[in-house]
Amino acid sequence: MGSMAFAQGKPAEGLYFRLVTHGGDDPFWAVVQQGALDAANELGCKVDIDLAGSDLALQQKRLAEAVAQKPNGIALVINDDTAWDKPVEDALAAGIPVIGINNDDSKGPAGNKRLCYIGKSEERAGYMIGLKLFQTAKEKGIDFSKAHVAMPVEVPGANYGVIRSNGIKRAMAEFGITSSEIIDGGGLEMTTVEQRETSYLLAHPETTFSITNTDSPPISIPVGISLTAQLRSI
Amino acid sequence: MEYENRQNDDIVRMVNIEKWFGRVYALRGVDFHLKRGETVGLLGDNGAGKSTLIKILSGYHVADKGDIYFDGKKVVIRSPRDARRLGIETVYQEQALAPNLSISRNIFMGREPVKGFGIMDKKLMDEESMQALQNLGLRLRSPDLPVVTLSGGERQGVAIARAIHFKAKCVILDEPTVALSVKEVNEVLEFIREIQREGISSIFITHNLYHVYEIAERFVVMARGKKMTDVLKEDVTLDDLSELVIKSALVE
Amino acid sequence: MNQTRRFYSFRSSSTLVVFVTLVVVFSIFTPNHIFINERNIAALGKLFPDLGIIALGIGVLMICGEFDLSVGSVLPFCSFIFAQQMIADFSPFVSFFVSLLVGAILGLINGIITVKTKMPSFITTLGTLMFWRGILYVWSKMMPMSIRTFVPSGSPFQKLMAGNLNAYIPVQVIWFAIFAVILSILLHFHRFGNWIYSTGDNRDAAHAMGIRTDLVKIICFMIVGVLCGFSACMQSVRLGSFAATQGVGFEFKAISACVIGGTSLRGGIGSMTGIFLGALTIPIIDNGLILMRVPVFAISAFIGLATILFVLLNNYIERKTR
Ligand SMILES: Nc1ncnc2c1ncn2[C@@H]1O[C@H](COP(=O)(O)OP(=O)(O)OP(=O)(O)O)[C@@H](O)[C@H]1O
Ligand SMILES: [Mg+2]
Repeated sequence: MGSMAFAQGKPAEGLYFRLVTHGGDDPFWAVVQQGALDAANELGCKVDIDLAGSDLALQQKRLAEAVAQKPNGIALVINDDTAWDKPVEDALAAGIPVIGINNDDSKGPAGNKRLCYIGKSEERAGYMIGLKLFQTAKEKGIDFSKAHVAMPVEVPGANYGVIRSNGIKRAMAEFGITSSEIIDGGGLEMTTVEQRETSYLLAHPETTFSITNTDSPPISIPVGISLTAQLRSI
Repeated sequence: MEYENRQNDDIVRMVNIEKWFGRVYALRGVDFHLKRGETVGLLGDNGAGKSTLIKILSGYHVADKGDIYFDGKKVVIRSPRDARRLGIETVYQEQALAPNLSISRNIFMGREPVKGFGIMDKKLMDEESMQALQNLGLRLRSPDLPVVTLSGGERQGVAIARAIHFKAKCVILDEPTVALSVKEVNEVLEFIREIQREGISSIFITHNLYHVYEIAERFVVMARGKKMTDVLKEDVTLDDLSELVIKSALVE
Repeated sequence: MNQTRRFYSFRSSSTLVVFVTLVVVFSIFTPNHIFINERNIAALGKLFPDLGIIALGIGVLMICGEFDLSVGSVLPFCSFIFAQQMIADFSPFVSFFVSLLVGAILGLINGIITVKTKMPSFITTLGTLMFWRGILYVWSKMMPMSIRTFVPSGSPFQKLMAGNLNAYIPVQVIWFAIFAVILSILLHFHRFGNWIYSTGDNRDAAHAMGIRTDLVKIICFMIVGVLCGFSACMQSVRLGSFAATQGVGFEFKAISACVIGGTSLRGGIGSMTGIFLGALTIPIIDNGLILMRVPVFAISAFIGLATILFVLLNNYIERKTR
């Protein structure tokens, strides 16, 4: 980066971008913001990030405000299948490129006109985690006929969580696992999460796998093999 | 007819007291005094400034102007603590008791006897509370009863017992008979007589002239923040007094 | 008969009855009696005091006639300070006292704002709840900070804050009990307790009787702040890190625990026994229902229902005994 500073004009000199996310009270977005700022620094452009505290209406307002500022591009977290269809079309019509990040419309390009999507496929992420976990377990000789999968989620009902668990279920089907349950992890506060999960694992000793979808530190309870997968990355 | 002022006999003397509440001129230079062992009836229409005057004496409000002398000495009363230290006790219009607390905790509120490390001497509190109530002729089942379970008259009894117990030199009674049944009113008037027998001075505010005429030795009538009349009981009949109150309210 | 009446005249009796019923029901009906299994008891005892200790303070404050919603932010704030001090090379004990001090100061600020502006503390502390969380997010950049190396497992401070007395009893329970006893003495036997009750029950009367009600309220806010500081250190040591999401939602859970324990929302009524039981009841409902294999998504509904039923029950008992 130091050497680049002397180069005649950085690649994105003078450009302005905006990141419209649903994020809020969650350390995850602090990391994303830092990454965006580092990238902007390196490329010589400017970037601002919007947080909406998981409030869809507020996030829509943030997008409208971002469009009004006429940036050179907007990266949007498309965390709803219908709410973003028209706003994205409008922005594109106004000549502002919009791409999806972090979450995409579940129907991909067919569901939303965004120029492209950068990030993982939630369904595929769930599927891959499931495959990896069950493969390891199979090698260890775990009996799948009575296996039970617990899936604690941090935000019950959130789009990405539902899609991810669909992926996990696809992997389960391949290994012939039939029993699973999505559970309310109780939010982001770790004592609550720990209390919920501990109680659940004690009550459901048949739980063979626990695939956690929260930011709380992994919890080690010696039940079967309880593997906690942190499913968080762009 | 004007009452003659012999200063060295006064327990309380308030001189030229003025008080503003924002733009409301509540007291417009009031002189007031109370002799040792005397009971004064403080009368006047709603909003005349009676409560404001005695709340200045009890440290609840601070006057904007004027001096207060207590027991012959000039004093500055900035808070209820100051007033209580001097021996001024109030039985407020708005109930000076905490309804959900026990009788004994109410009687010793703010002046709890302690055994050490601030731990209350509960046994002493209970015994002395029951004794204080008995002296007033009130027999209650237990010092642990919450005050809210008592009748209106009994509640005033608790407040008055508290004043007597702490050897008040001046007791202020702000409408102690309001909203009470006839039987309860008689009880309370009996409590006030006990205050008189103890030789304690008192100020009795009320809208009921029958109640105050039986008991007070002198009457002060206020209207619109001013003192209008100051008469001894022997100089007026109940009817005269009633006329005085109505007339003062009508003047200019 | 008379004995029964007397029993019910204590507000916390209903909480006690429900508490004992819950314990008995859960002990009998959970599969394999897992509720009274040592692993469950130890897990409960390790986790509930994080909120429980704060609820004890909130109870005292509610008796005094005020609320503190800012605990949800004061806790992670103190936790951040604690982690920062250790990273700056102070010993865990020094960092701990700094965290308590910061808690006390934040409580003092809540108290002064509430008393001076004469606004309802529900509003003032809602303000500080959001304010301190914002400051915390900016200052910490929301980045988690590991403190495991400063308080490794088995170190004196770790044992003191997150160790185990034996297989059944984690040290957190002992702390909870100690604070309950201290606050119980303060509330029921110390003269300051009488000032707290009087201030909450009839502030004018308390003021007229020479009690400095403003000061009493400020001190109660500070008690809550210090307990937040303590709980912050306890939780951080157990987790081995600071995380910006610590304490989220504690404000209403603490109030709900106090209400279940028979504390009045209007001040002047409540007892340490009740608050103690209330702080235990919520985690037990949560834990017991999951153990009975009730779908986890329904748990919130049960706790909400329990809170409302307790308020109704307490109001009913209040009317009966009057
Ligand atoms: N705290 C206050 N703030 C503003 N105005 C006040 C306050 N207290 C009293 N006042 C005003 O001062 C005036 C005198 O009121 P005060 O309560 O002394 O009357 P009072 O003679 O006791 O009447 P009542 O017989 O109705 O009790 C009234 O106009 C009242 O509205
Ligand atoms: Mg009045």
